[in-house]
Amino acid sequence: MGVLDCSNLNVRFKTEQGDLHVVRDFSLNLEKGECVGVVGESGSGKSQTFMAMLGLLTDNGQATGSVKLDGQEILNAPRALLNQVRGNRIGMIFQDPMSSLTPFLKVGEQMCEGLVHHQGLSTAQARARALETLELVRIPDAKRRFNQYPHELSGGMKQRVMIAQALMCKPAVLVADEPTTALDVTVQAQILEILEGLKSHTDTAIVMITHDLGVVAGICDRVLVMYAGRVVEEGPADNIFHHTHHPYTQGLLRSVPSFDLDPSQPLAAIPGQPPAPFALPSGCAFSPRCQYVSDACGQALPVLTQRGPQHRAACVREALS
Amino acid sequence: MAAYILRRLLIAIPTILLIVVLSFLIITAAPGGPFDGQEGGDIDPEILANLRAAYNLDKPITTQLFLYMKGLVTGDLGPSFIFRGRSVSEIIARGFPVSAQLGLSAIGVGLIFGMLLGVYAAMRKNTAADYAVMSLSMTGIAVPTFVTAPFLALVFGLYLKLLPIAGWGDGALRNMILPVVALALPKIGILARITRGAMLEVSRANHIRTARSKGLPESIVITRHTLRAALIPIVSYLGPAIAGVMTGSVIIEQIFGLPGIGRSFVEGALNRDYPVVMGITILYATMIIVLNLITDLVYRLLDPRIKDN
Repeated sequence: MGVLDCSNLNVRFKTEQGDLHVVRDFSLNLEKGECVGVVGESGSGKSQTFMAMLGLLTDNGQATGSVKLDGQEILNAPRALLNQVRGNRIGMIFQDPMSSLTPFLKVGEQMCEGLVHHQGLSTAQARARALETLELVRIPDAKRRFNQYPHELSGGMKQRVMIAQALMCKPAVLVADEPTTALDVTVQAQILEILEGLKSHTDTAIVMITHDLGVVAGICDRVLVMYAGRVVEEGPADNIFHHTHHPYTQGLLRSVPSFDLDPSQPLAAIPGQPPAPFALPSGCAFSPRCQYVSDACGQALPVLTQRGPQHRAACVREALS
Repeated sequence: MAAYILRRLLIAIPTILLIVVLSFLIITAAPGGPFDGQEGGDIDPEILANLRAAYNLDKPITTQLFLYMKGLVTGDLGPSFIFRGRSVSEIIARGFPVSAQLGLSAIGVGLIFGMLLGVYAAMRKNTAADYAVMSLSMTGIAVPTFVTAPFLALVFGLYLKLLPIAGWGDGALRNMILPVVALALPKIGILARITRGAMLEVSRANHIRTARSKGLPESIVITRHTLRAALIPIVSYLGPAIAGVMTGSVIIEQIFGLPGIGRSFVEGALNRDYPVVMGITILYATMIIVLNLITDLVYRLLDPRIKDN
């Protein structure tokens, strides 16, 4: 059994348009030290899945299913138990480093407060740990940065501080929600390098939530592809990239720009829009956008079936040819 | 920082000059004069002419303004036209401490209860408790002080005989309670609403999500990460509100028979006692300017991103 075991997680939001069922039957068994990529378009439910696990849904959100951390159920746990998990056992990094740090507290103050709270360290001990962690995420001149306010740091620096802050308590799991989306390309590469270093030097398991398959290719061992709230394909990263079994995954892969493409040709794109969660098509949710669509697609919801070792996909077709 | 304060104070000088000129022109342009229609019928024309000459009212308005400004530079606010033998400075020195003490106490009470209620309502957002607090504060804002003040005096002074109905008693706590409560009620309402709104606004920010994701208990999320940002709209409201409440409330002073400055101001305006009106206007303007400066300095304490500009 892995460090984080999630089964049949469903997330619903009560809204004026009715109940939105945004995550459907999500299951994931995360092993110690592995890096799993969760891929999908905006609105596919990938962020809400992990917000739900940590009890960070907005007030109108509701989660059902089971999430076990080291065998202990944490889904919908009381706030006191969740507080012991958040930041301490599961660290989290968010998409927008510009607004994710408290603007009026010094970098060091916000980094240390979690550690002091969770592990009862003295301020001096926490400070030593913070400086050590800032160096781990390759922040030069850590002592000076420690006493600065977030607005005095660049975007890349802020994201490194976010990572360092999430690592302060040496968590078992690090959830990185689009950690590179708001950053420019060279900084993205530096952030990914830090996360890769973390993967090889510690046994922290990493969940990388992203819509960027390039990010996944560089760092992830395993990939889950989500569409309209469901996992449609999952498997080892190599298989996903080279033995794709779901048309949606294939569409995502084709729409990644690369240097080998003919610049005079338009970049491939998946036609249409993802469906709204309150108006899902019957059967396979991807069928209206799928180039391989057949009559069978609209009749029943395809379930995840075995396609290779640890490789599963939810498509009525046996293989893509 | 010191340079910034100095610059702001220098900019304040022309502002005050402009306020002096404008209010002098407006008050003297109002029909009537200080010696019209006093008790005992009309004054003998000869005496009136002497009076007008004694206070320079017979001179052209520009000369009057010049003479007033000349006095102002040396700190002389002139004599009262109506209360003969008393200078405007004396009237302010006597009434202002009373109004200031009342006003500051009311703001203090308003701040404590308003913020507590606002934070509580924000934490219980969209529940019965929230709606109850918000309706109560709306009531506090909507019911005017000339209703609440006599009501309080009636209940606690006349029926229950717990507190004096009126009078200042040299600022004894017993005498302060009712007027302070009457003044504070609308402030509590306004501050509760501002606090609730600001707390809810800030609690949607990404950095609050980060604070929660760090496993901090809600009490720390609120006190350390939310409240400080929510203080900014509260401070914006407090600056002018303090200036307003310290320069006196006619209604409260009238109902509770308090020797504050608010009454002097209104009586001065009705009697065309130009120097009294001018003196209190200048006091009010100066306080607004100083409090705005303090507000801006507090902003910088609350949010390190705010810099000189």
